[in-house]
Amino acid sequence: MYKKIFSAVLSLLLIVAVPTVGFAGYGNYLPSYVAGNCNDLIYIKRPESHSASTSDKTYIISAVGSLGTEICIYKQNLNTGERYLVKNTTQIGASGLYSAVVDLNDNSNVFYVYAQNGNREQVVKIDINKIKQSTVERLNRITVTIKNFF
Amino acid sequence: MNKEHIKSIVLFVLVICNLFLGSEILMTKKLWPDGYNFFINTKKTDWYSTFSNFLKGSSADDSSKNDISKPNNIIINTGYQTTRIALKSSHEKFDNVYSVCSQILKEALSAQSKDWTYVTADEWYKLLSARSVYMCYSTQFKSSLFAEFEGCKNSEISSLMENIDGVVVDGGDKAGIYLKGDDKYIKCTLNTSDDELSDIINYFQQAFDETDSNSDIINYSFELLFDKVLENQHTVIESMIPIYSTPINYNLINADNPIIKHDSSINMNSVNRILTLFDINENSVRRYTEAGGTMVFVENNGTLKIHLNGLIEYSAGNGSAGLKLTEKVGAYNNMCAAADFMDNINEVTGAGENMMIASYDIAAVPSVGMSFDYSVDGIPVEITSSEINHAVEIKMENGYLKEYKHLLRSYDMTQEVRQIPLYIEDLDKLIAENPSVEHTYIEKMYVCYRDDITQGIKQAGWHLQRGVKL
Repeated sequence: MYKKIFSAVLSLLLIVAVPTVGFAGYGNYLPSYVAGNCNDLIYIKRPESHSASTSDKTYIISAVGSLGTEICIYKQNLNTGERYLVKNTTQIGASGLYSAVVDLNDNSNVFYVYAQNGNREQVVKIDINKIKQSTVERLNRITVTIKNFF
Repeated sequence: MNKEHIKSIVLFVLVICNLFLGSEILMTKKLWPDGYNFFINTKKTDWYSTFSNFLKGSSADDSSKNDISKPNNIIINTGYQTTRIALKSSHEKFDNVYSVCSQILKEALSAQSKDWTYVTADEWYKLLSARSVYMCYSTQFKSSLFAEFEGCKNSEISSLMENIDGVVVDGGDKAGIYLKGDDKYIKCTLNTSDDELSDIINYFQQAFDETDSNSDIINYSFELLFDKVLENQHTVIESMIPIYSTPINYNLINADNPIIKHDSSINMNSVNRILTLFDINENSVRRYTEAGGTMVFVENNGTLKIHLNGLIEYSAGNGSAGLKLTEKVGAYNNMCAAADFMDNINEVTGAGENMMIASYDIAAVPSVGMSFDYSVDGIPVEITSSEINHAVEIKMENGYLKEYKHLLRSYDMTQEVRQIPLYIEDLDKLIAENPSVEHTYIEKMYVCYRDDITQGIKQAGWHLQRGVKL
């Protein structure tokens, strides 16, 4: 009798859990071993070279992909190496366009864009370096000086 | 009382009656024969309108003609996407920013053609990512006409660029103007400093820093590379369209038809005032009512229809010149006269007074083909009806009104706040509705209210307009 109740509860848990886990990909954390099995599900448009520097507080990642592809964004904790979810799963619609705003910490920010469509999955690493406003202004001054020199 | 006294009294009464009835015929009923309407002709002269404006004490800035060349949005680029801000025309700082930019623009448009240089698209885009002010227009302008509206009639700008569809004011150390039109870019650097503009940009940047707000993050399409075509990309968004990455809040509005009174009867006072503006004599005009209740007035110069849903339609008859609105010639004068006429109709009927230009047919110049939309809180109201595409549609030739459509509406803003879904959701829906179309080029994308010409609450959404370029 206990076995029957146990297996019924287990089955119920499975029924509830499987679609949830399946929809959310890897859920709140992306295991470090996940590297994807293809590279044509999505194309990152911004940052074009998958790395950028800015002094802004936020950054917009943009991409294009095929209809039905699910995308979410993880951020790497630079101390622990853990990749935690910062942008929930969004399904690409008929336009094929995707954009998401991510918050930036000072210095280095490493993001992983995870895309999944059926059995195919793709992971794209993006580096955003946040530099201080004073550094940008100093760089601008140097640029002006060089321009004046020529 | 002798006989002579009685005669004098009778004569005096007769003279008074003559003056009273004569003024009734001439001034109120306007029962003068065609060709002798001296008073109407007088009203169309410049001195009359100047004198009339003086007596009314009305400011010239209130009229729609002064808003024709005004941008419908101004984007302050602070150099950072987080603090970039879009100002609607209803924003308290809009007029101040526009006035500063307009001053620099006038100075540049007055410059000689040798002071302008052609620049690359990259330089234009770089400026938009730095400190600058971008003025967004809802329609493209002939450059000579644009300069005339900015008060520079003899500008040499048309020798460099035929059409203008975007203006950027440089917020750097020296004042400068960049113009865009037909995929060409030109700049004029002035010798004056633009401290005032720099202060404005600093003000908005500091205001954002203090609130630490991440709302309304705006990027241009070119920054997200949505304007560049990839192998598998089916949707391209015009490079200068501002992309809002966070949802936008707005207030619901209530639409009312001023032709119909609250007791559902027709407001005949408004109808009579409209007839007066169209030079139609209510006593002598041939009139009939159509099955749906539409009032039709037929005169020598054309036919006027007033529909019960608030739509006014006028068309000049075959062989008729139409309704004379101005004696001056040229596109500028024609457009001003048309805008004044539209304002007068709004004024006498109590329809919404804030209008923004929606389109302007460049090919029609020197004739005029243009349309206006109502604007509520700086947001245009899109008319979604088969009868009319914009609130006002005007066709004019040599000072004569040829065709005119005007949907009379008044809008009140409610206190109820709603959120517009992200642009991408509406874009997905639009493309999903037409699966056979392989590639989509979005030419225009902005927030608007939608009015299906029924009365009641109206919501806002994204206006998405396809183009042909890809």
